[in-house]
Amino acid sequence: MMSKNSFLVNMKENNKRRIWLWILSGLFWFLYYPIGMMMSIGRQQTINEVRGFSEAVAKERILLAAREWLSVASNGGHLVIVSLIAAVCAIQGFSYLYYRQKVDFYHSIPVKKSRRFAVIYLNGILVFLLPYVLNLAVAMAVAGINGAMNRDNVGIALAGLPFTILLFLGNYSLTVIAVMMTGNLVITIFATLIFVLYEPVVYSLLETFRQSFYDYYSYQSANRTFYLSPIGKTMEGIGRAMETSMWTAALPQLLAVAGMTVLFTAIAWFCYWKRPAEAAGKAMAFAKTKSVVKVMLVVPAALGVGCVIKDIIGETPYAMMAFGMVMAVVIGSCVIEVIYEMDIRAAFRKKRQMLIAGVFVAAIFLTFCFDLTGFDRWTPDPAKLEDAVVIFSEDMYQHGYVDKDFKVIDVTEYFLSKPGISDIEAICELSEKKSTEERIWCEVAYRMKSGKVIWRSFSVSEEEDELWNLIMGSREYKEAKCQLYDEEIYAGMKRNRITELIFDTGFREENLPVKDLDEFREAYLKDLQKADYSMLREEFMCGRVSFTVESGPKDRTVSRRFKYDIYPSYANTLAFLEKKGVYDGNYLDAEKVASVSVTNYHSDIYEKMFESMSPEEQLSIGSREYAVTKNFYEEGQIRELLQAVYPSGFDQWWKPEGVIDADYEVIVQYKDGSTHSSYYRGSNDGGLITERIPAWLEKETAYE
Amino acid sequence: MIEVTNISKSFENIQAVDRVSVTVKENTLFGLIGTNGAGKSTVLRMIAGVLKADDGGITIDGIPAFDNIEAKKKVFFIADEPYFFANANAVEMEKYFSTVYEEFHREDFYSYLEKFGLDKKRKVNTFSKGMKKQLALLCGICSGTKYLLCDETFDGLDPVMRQGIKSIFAQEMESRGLTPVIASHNLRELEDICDHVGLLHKGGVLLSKDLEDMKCNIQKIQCVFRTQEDAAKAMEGLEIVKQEERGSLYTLTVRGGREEAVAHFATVDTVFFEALPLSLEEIFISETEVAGYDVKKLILG
Repeated sequence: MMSKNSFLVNMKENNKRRIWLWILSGLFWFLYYPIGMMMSIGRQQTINEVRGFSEAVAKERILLAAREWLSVASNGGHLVIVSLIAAVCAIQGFSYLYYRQKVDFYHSIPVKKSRRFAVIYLNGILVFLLPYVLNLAVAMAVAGINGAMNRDNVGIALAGLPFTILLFLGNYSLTVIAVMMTGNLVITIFATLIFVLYEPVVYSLLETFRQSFYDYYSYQSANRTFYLSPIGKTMEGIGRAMETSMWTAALPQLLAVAGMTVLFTAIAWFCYWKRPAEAAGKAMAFAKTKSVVKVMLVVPAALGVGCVIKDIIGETPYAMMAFGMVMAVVIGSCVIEVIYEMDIRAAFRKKRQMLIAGVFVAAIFLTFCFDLTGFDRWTPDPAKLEDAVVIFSEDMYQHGYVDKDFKVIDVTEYFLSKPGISDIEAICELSEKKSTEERIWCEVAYRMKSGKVIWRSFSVSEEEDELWNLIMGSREYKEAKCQLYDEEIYAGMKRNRITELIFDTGFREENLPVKDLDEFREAYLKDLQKADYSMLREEFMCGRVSFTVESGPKDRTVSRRFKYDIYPSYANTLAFLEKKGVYDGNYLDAEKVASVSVTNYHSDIYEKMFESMSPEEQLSIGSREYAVTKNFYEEGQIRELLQAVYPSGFDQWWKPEGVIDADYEVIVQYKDGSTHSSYYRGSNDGGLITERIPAWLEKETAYE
Repeated sequence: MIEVTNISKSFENIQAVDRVSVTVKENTLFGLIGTNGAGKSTVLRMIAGVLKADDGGITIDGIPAFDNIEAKKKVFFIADEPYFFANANAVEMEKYFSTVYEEFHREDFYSYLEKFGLDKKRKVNTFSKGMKKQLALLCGICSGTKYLLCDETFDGLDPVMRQGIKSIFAQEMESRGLTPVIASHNLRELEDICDHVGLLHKGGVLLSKDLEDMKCNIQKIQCVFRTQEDAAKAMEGLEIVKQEERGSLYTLTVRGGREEAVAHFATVDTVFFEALPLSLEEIFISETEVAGYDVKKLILG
């Protein structure tokens, strides 16, 4: 027999006070899942009928529609809704603490504080969990009846459970803390928002200040990990799961949210235990936290105002920023004090707290403003430096990297997983030559012997050939940059389906047998040993070899293309390509070209004219107005132009400025009528190598 | 026994209760009198274990009161504005209290409801203020707790209801030793039901005494003496709390028992002598005036 005052009886009694919340939660999840699923499938069925898809395609589309509805990742609103429900459940459960009458009632009856907390806390979770899980199951059943469930969809639906439940628990416990620390609903809502957003806002402010005040700040050192934000961590986990197509990849993030939940629950219980009954109705439950909370809110708010002023005015409006921040400190402190006391006359009380907040703001502002930490002055101590990872912009944006399991991996993460450049002298020299005004930008991760990684972002002159050769010619850099070096990764690529091996001249693509990939790799890696900065700077690419790898199940294939640039000095690779009959030394065969169209943009004339134009003309007249386009049909002219042409898709990254004349644009028309301009099969446009431009071209395309 | 020893409580900068010591003996009806803001509710909330005293201690039958489930099992607290669940009726309140107070007397509860004419199915939020107080009292009486703390609960109850509650109190006190503690700002509300009274003022206790003791130990004498010498002789050896003269009529408030006073005046030649009973109000006026307070302003409005 159940004891009259047992835990379950307490749970039942507490639930009687929360009936409306049960109804709301049940209704919401019913509309969201089963009804939403029915509507989603119904919409897809209509589309299938209208478009007349075949049975197989129609079924696939319906499966996809159901999958999207069940997936946490493809439904961003889901996370926001779950967070909102968590807040409502937490506030509703403990809202009795706002009212003296209720506090007197509940706290005078013989129920242990710990039990009361546990009962309310647990019921708040059940109010969400039961309707959510039940309706999810019904939605899956609805999808199943409509032929929209398969193993993948079940997997997607079940994979969403830990994300949703842990996100709920994290935000729920965070909101319970907010309730415990405040004495009325409005302040609780503010506190919840602050708890949820504080960490991202502070990170973002620090990031903005670093970017604004430090010349050599690298965004790589930005903190992308949340320690106290359940929603931030959950999104991080979902991102990780999506990247890898495996929800287990998000296990560290899920565990972190679980850890946050435990921590927040412990804090919430501690606050509940310590909360005085007289806090009901007051703004803050604990008098001692008032000043700390005020300073913690005013300082970032003032710094944020400083950022906004800097954004609006630009440059370095220190005086305006300082004025804005002082105003923010004063106004912020006054507003918070008025809220605390619920009395407008209290605005200027507690001036010492205002002063403390002001001192913090000034200290932070001056630290950044005058670089008191010596951030920009820092250069590595050779004795303490282990190695350094150098990543160029080209590496960041031109290549995609995978790990040994063929999962996409962040470029930085990949480079960091490789040995860094061990030529300490070269690295230190590079650091001493750092600037913000040169052409070659790089991100450098200095790996210290202590294990610390220090990032800096800076530019160094492109004229520093010798230094760049040491960096870019180093084996470590090349091994990090080119994944073909890595046996494990290469084996991972080969474990999947390599569907094509292509040589691209920039104007035409030639297929190579996939089985020749090993031979190509061997030749290419041999050539790469000799590659350095001078080669990249001086030589023009003569082609590109790429291969495509398909991974994943057949109905969700993911294709990735890996590209390798070929330069004239890559003798082994060129010999291989010649042997295979795909390389003849030219980008394209002049015999096959019907005409070459050249556009001269005359940017020098445009720039001169632009200065003399009225503001209206400056808006209405573009550079195209001065462009002259000519078509050349004569074989001799075509041959001369083709000698100078450089495919638009080929590397210009390292070339000195002006080597490719930016004024000219070339489009090739082929005799067979094909344009070869299909994205996948080569291009038909390019630029002209300045030193090879025929002398007659300028006259032919002169602006009149 | 409830023992309140030197408790203090302040809310921010306001001292609500200042070193109050009161003892509530078992099976007595204790009245806690005081003006608004005197600290009555705060004292009751501390006894109920809702508020924690800043200083001092409270024990319920030797068990510390604050946050102690064993102490709370012995106490039922009716706040000045009793709380009932939204849209609940008397039955639902009974069901809840039955789960919380293991000795809740359901049968008695429904029987009392009927006697007091309270509809058990009617939503409590449609009850009048007086009806809500009656319901709260009935819940408290039937909870089976030893102590019943009533904060301003009797204020506003009509005389019939007061009488009804008084008789239930008497019955419960006799049958199971119920000890009600009733706080009120109006002495007249309590004088006919209390056994012991504590007077609170500005957070402190002015006095705490047994009503019978107070009544027996203070007498009002009206008399006319034959000569001034007789008057002077009569005053000797008396502890006079208050003395008034209107012509030859003396009105004296003196400490001591009735018999003692009568015997004393028998030795003096008087033209007229009468020993009158004092009302609780008069006793309070006399007692507090001695302490330098004008009690009329404090508790009689």
